[in-house]
Amino acid sequence: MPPDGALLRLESVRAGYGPVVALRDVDLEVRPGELVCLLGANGAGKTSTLRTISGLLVPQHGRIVFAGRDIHGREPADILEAGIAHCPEGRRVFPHLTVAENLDMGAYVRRDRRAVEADTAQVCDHFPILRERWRQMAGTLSGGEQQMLAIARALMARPRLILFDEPSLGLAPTMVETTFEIIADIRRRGTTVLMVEQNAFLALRMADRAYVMETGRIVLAGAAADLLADDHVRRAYLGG
Amino acid sequence: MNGLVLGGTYALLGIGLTLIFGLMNVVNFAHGEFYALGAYVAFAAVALAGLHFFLAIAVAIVAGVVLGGLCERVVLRPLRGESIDTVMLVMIGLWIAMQNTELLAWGGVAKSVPHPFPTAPLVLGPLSIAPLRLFVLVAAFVLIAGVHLLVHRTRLGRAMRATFQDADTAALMGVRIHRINTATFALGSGLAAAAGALLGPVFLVYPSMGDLASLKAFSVVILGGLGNLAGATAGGLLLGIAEELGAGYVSSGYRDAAGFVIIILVLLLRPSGLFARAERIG
Amino acid sequence: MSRLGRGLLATAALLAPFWLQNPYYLHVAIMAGIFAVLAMSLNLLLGYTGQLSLGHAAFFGIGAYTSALLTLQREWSFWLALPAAVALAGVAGWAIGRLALKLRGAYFVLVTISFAGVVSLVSVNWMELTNGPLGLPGIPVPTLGPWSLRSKTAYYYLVLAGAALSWLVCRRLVHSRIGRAFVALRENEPLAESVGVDGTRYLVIAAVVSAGMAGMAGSLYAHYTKFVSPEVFLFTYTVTMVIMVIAGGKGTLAGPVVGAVLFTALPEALREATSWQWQMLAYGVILLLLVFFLPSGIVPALSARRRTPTETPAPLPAAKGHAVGAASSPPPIAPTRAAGGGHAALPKRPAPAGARLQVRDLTVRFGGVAALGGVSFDVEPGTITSLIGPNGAGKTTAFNAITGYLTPTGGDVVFADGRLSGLRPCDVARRGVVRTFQKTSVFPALTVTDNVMIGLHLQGRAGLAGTIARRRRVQDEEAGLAAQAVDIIEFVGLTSRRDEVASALSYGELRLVELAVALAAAPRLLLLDEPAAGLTTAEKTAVSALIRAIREQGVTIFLVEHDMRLVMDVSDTVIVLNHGRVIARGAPAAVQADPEVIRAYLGGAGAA
Repeated sequence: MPPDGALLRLESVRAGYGPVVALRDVDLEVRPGELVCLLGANGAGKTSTLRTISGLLVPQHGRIVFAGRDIHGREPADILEAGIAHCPEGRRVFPHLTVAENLDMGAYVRRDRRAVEADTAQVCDHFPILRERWRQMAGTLSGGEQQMLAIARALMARPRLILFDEPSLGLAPTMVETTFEIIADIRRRGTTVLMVEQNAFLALRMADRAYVMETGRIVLAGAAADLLADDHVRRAYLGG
Repeated sequence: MNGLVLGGTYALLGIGLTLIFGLMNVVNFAHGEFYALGAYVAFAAVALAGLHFFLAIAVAIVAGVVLGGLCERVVLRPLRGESIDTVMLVMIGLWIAMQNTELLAWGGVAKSVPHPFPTAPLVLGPLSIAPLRLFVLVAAFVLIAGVHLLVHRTRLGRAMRATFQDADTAALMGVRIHRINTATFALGSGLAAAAGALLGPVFLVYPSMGDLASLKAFSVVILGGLGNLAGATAGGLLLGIAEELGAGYVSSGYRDAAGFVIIILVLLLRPSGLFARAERIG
Repeated sequence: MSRLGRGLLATAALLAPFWLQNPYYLHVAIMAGIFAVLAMSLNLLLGYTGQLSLGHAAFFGIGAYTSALLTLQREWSFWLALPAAVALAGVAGWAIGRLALKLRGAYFVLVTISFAGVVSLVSVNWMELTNGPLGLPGIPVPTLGPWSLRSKTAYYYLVLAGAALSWLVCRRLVHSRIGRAFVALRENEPLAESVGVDGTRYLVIAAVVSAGMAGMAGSLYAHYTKFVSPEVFLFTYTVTMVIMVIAGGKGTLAGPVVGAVLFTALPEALREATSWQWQMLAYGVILLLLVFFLPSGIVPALSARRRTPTETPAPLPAAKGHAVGAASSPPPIAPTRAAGGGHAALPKRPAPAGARLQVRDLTVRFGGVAALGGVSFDVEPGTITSLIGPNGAGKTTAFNAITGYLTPTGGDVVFADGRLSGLRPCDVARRGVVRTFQKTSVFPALTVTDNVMIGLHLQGRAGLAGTIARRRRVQDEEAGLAAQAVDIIEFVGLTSRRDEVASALSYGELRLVELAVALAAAPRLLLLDEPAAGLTTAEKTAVSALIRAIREQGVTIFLVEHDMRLVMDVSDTVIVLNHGRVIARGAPAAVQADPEVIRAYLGGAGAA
């Protein structure tokens, strides 16, 4: 695969919080239209990888290239404008903003009012529950509804790449299925996805490729189908 | 009625402070100095530059906004990430420096701001109120309503609220947090200056007027809850009325004690409500 | 500062009246002495406990008024009025400390400002007592036997004695168990509480001593100027004190004294040229500049400069590849010691049989969400038991609820026949249940040894009076604690780093410091929250060896950890939590094979 083929590429990225090293020379790439998932036990550095890509965590070393542009060290707002949306762990909807306002926040960087309105209508068709809850504070929504809102909010920025961090976290099993269907659908419509997920088997079944992380490093990479069969993944999560 | 006039301006002060405290986590001890600044600019504009009274008030507000924004850029932004205590010390330094600059510029003698209103009170049935005070009351409420609209109806206001609730996620939505901080500090300072410009003509203008204003603003914030605009509005009115009652029933010498007592009582009786945000276990 | 330097300064201070012939200079020296007492008193709160009091002028004023009124109206002797002033100011400090119990940071500042505001308003308005704004003139000059202390020279020595006494009290407090508790609260309150430091109690102690000292300064001031008015409550005094402390160096003994001398002499020297408005403006600007350019103050900056050329850091152990000291020698010191039966390594309390942790129906709700929905389990004495589960399963919540950092909505926690639920963290530690924290939690500004000394808090019992009087028993106790600290640091393998400041250590070493601090509290049950998070593989191996060695010392271990290899490796029993409920419990191998556990970790489709 030629390097130009990548939409997003991380080259030996190192990052941390104060004295704590979170990422040790991470190399990773996502090609246009792919659904890539990032697996690993807690504390392995998955969330830090996403936070570094979206600019919340400033890398100490290495390069991050998105669509041919170096985005390393830029502000989150610039990175979002470049086309990367980040749907953070634990949903993080604004609890005291209404559903409508949360969606507006998703389109914060966009100036094309008319297109934003059209997109709002479209995500509401996609997630009818949001229209029902339109004037409700997001904090009063159920966990599943909040997840729908968080995904819809990320879509409002019209990103080329969405980062999902643990979209199934804390959801009831049926809701987990629905969430994964939605993410598969987003990818089908042409948006590239990089996803961090605990629910490894479910994630691997829908992903094209996957990376496994351990203590801040990528220890395994490959086609999702191969990893599904590999005992490495089970061990990364459950030891032994 | 006088309680309401005072309360309206206290609410302005409190709203400004609650925005700054709640959004930026800055304990702004210099807040009262922006109040004093507003009063002095209004005085200078009317008495020295000969501007019209209403125009002078607008000039004072603009001065508060500009200087507030400048302070945030120059003093506070380099300190992002420092502990809240360090920032607090800096704000204390700013407070002292601003107050004594006023003292040097204007001297210690109290000044009064000339105003165009007649002194004869308006009598409306059982109520009587000086026209100036009525104007202050109306102006304060127009400004409060304006802030509510700004915060609840505009893109900037939405971004401010989002940042207050979850700064990291707001950044992920493309909000440039440092710009929101500058805007918030400028807005808060502008409101304090507005309060000063409005109350200046009612009372006298003197350099240490900011000290009490700061304390009153803090009592309003504590009464209303951190970052709570409606709370600050209600808290301001409550404080104004409490002072008026305290002065009437206890002794006018203890008028200013109302704010102190409110701070102590609220913090003692309901500290848990205030500290929900400060939990940092695990 | 060297002993010689201190001696020279003391001599200079003693002989000051001889080289300061001009009475005006002597006046400045007296004021400097009074401000030194004030600055030292404020430093005790601001510098050591980290709480800024902006109402310190209130204690100063209370001292001044008490002394003035007692000598004027009751005709007490100054020598009785002075202690009374100290006592009354101390009572005021106690009241503030008690009232402000849980208030920290800005809220503490606001309460102190408000308190000073109320006191000041009372002094203006209570005409009958205070003569209102007119003040109280004609306060008598103290006499000492047949001599009157009317002359400036005599009064200078009185003030000097007062300052020396304050310095001694501060010095003894700071270098004691109590002083360590103050600093622990400043540096990291949750951690301090976890090893049994009672935050409220020590904040109150600091407030009382600090207020008492300010009261003494007030009394000295009143009898020097022979006049008090509500001006003593002026905010200016408080601001001056704050600047003296910050400029001199908060949290150092000499700092406030240096600051006081400098900021009394400097403005007096400038007075000729400028007005006092300029002086106050300069104060504000200086405070701003200090925070930006000299945040730690003059004294620390000077001593840092002196140290750099002479002191070279201790050489690091040779095999430094993995940062953790213990990791560099694969079978670390700890297990060998333990195997050799070297029980001297850890301070021990006999673990009584049946010191079992029983958790019954523990429920924690945040708003409507149940983080723990009625969890029950036991941790058997002498075992290593692990609590695992996916993210958000409620593990840390369970730790917080057990150790008193969180009040559970329902259920019971019992340890060795005593209920833990409802106790404060420091009381839980007193029962022998000590926890560590998920995010690295040490006292960053202190050396490894001092970190561990704070951990030993509960092993000492020196009180306020004994510490200030410096009794034999207290000195012996200190020596004993220091010896224990040496052993504990050796146990975790940090001996070569024990004089390093914690913030200079590597991440792996910090995690060992955390363990050492917790061990110092002599736990019977030790709760470890992700002790291996963020460590390299080699470091993790060292930590698991250490965990086993701790168990060998008779400490029961309850572990939350995400590294399954480590968990499966060390645990006797594993408890699995998911969505706030226990879904499995048993030996590691059984739990690993449990289908429900696999489903919780790897997802519902796993079996397919």
